[in-house]
Amino acid sequence: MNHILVVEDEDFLVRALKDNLTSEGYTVSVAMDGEAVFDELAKKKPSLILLDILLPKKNGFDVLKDIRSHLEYQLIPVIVLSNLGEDSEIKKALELGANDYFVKSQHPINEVMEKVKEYMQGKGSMKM
Amino acid sequence: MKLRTKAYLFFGTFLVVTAALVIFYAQYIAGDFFKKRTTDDFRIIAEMSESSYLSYLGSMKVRVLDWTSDNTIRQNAKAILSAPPNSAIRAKLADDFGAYVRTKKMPFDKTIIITDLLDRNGIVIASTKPERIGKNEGTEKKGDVETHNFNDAINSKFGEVFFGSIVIGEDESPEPTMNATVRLFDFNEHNDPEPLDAILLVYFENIRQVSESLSSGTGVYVGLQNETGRLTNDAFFQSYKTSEIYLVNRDRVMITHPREILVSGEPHPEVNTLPVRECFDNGKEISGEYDDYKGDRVLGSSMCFKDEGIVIIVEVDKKEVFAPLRKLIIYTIIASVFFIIVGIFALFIFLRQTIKRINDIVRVAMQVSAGKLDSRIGINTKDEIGYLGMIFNDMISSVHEHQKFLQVTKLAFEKEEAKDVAILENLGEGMVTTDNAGNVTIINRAAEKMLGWAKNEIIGKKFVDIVPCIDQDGTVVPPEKRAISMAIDSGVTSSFINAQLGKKNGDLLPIAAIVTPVIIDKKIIGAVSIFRDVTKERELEQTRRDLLSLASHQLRTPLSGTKWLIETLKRGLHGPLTAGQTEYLDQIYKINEKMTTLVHDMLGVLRMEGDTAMGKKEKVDVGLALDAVLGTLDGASRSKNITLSAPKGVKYTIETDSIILQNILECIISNAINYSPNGSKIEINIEKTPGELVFKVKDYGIGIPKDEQARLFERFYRASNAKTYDTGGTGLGLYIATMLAKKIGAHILFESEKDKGSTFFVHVPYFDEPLSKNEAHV
Repeated sequence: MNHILVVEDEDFLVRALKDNLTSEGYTVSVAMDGEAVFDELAKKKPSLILLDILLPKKNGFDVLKDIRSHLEYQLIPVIVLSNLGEDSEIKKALELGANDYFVKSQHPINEVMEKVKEYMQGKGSMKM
Repeated sequence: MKLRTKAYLFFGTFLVVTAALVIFYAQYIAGDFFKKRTTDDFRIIAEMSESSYLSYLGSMKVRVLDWTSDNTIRQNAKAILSAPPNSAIRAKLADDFGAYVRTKKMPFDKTIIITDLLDRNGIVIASTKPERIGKNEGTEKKGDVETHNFNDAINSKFGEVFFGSIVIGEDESPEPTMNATVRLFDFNEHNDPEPLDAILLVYFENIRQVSESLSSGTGVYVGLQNETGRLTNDAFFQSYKTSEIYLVNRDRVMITHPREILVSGEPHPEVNTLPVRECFDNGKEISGEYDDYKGDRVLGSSMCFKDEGIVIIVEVDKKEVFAPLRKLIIYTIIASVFFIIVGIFALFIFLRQTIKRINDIVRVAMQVSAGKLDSRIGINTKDEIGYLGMIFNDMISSVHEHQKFLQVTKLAFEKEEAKDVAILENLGEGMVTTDNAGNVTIINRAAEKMLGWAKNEIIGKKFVDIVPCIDQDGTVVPPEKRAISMAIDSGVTSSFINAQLGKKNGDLLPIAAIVTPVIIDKKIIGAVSIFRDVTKERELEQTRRDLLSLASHQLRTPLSGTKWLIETLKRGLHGPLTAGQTEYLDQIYKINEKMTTLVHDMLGVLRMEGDTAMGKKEKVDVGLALDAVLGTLDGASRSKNITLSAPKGVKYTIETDSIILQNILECIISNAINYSPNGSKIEINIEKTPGELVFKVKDYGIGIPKDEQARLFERFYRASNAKTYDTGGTGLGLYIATMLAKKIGAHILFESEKDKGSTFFVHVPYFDEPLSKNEAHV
């Protein structure tokens, strides 16, 4: 159970995340738009979802809402990785059930990795 | 009552009173003086008459005494007394006596009519009228008074003569007669008188002479005519036509004629007047006013000889005495009437002019009051009325000028008002004014349109009741908390941008508003609320936020990608890096980081510049807020080994926006850290000044050059020494801090010296009383 779903539409970010996560020993599947999320979830249920907000076809808030209302996936921790830094957006994501929120440009990838490890080891706080 | 009537009454009364006073003076004061002086004069006349009378009596006495010294008479009397009674010789001797006296003595005095010789019993023993022999004259009485003083005479000494009362209608004569009795004396060898028992009784018919003596007075004052001329009896008779001097006897009958000698047979009037009564009853002499024997009012004076039964009376008809005075009074009355007529005439002349002038002023005043301000008074006299007219004209001119000015001002004012009304009417923003009870007085077209209420529906009604208000939290604001109520009740001006008003149709209208009290003469007379529909602004704001959000995302995405890719590379996931590669990657990473900060700050600035919302008002524990900031900066200060000293246990609580306050402090303190050398210190203090709380941040860093200090708060401005000292700055930190300060009503000041350090002061509004009372909503 060390599978992680990365929902991100930018290739270079997918690449950076995938490299780092793989190097930590996790398996990674990627959804490049909002609608692809549930296909990927269906293929393989992850232990953690890293979710971007601004996505083609269906935005991250809607995806988060759907996950949290889906019986099978609602308990999967979701860390939002977004460059939207407004208070209102962070607040909204947390209200919709995100477990954590990182403004990507302001945090080194190591910090993200550390947080991922916490969740994967079951130490991440589950704010449900 | 008209002025003219009043003046006539006043002056008329004055003149009449003056005339009355003059008459009163003449009648009583002068009259009394006159009377006194006259009666004093009369008294003198009476005294003088008395003297004349006494003088006349003296001459009679001399005559009678002279007879007693006649030897023939004496010897004859002795012979008669010694002759036997009823003898022939005695009769012969009596005849001789009578003949001798009749022929030898009486011819020398025509007033003597009878001479009797009486024995000691009063019996006539000889007489010039022989038929009288044998008569008893010693006891003759008139009424109960003796006619003669026989008893006194028979016992008298030598030289004494006794005069009897003047009598009328006795047997001796029909005319008033007077008698004198004297005792006869003989002389012995020593030539001493020896009394005989014989009395000589002499009758005088001398009223004419007595009258003459009374009316001439010359007997006393002879030789003194010049000095006493006014007071002689002649003068007295000449002065007064009604003047009278007369004698009254004991029978209270007038003996002498008042002015002339009584004609023989003329009746002697009875005189029972005041002086007669006073004399015979009380023995008093009087001077004064009384009714005379004719019943006329007279002024007179009396001399009383009570024993002799004679009163001398001097009197003048009062009318004659007072004639000059009456004349004076008549002249005074005529003069008074004359002066009254002349006075009234003069008054009429004077008043006619004066009243005409006053009427002119009144006429002009009425014209002026009717609005004819070009009327003027045409009086040029140099008196008070002329002066009044001049001042009145000046006053009218002044009023005219003022009225013109007022009209011009009024026109200008009306024009301005019309303009104001037009402006208000066409103002894009809604405007509602209320009176001090909160009732709507004016609502302009924009407000009508915005709220959905028509003027006639809302004017006169209480605005806070008709139009509800919902605050930013969605709560309905109670009427007493509404900004209009606060403005009227407490004079508070409020402005806000995030309330909603309830429209007539129930919809909510987002507004921004400012509500101000209307104060005239320090009294709040109402409130003005200006508000605008911010629906569009809110939409725009939303759009702008969305755009900013997107822009920030789009800018950050490549920066974050670069960052993460470099970090991934440096982790060696794709093989080890050479030293040169690592160095290059570090440089790229730094550039990327700077770019990230810049984007972050710029987006922050853009967000704030477009955001008009004021900071929140919440109770902020200053100590906790400062601790949070210091906590955030703990890592940065530690990395440079900088000591941060801050007050502990700060107890202040202020009403402000906590996040904004913290951001400002963070900016200031982090600047202090960034521009201080490793191992230095930063001192933070909090001071309370009236109305403010001042956060003081002092560092010992690079300082700010003097000539650059003025530009420090400009956007992107960095001091020259800062640029070289710390390359990571964007020049937006202080700019953002000042913008944030504005949102909470704070301001930032500093003092600095290059190479010595800087002190920044953040002044935050602070009130001892909580501000909750002043929270206000439209």
